[in-house]
Amino acid sequence: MVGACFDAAVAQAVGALPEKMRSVLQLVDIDGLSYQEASAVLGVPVGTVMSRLHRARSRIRDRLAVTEISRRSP
Amino acid sequence: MRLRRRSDEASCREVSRVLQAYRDGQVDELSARRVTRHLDACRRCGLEAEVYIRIKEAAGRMDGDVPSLPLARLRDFARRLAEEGPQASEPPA
Repeated sequence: MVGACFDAAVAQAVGALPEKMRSVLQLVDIDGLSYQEASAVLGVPVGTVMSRLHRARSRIRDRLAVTEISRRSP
Repeated sequence: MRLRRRSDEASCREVSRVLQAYRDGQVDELSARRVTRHLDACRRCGLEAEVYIRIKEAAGRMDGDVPSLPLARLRDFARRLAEEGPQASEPPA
């Protein structure tokens, strides 16, 4: 999966994330905040930011894998 | 964030813990060097790092706020309703 197709799949996966994970991803990956800045905005510890970000990206990765398998299946 | 062990070589387990922080530039210099060496040598971890880079970059290309899935579906239905009129199909549950 490449290019616009990949971007669309990621966007869909991001939209399906739980609110807390989506918020962290928005702040760090889309708005470009550091972990410390995101922590201050959300009012949670830096460790929580890191944990939610890790889980969010892992979910996206897993969803992309499912999407690719579905796409290739006859 | 830093890798706990001070030996020269980082294990896959250690690297997986800090991989995303490493890609976000949030680890100390020594740990970053150890992770870089490991990624250069380990195909599995290198591939995982590559996936996370692509996800991060794709997310960075998204414009504006991230809509929730239900909101995206409602917006899509509203658009179709405006274009197709009452014949537009019901939004998915």
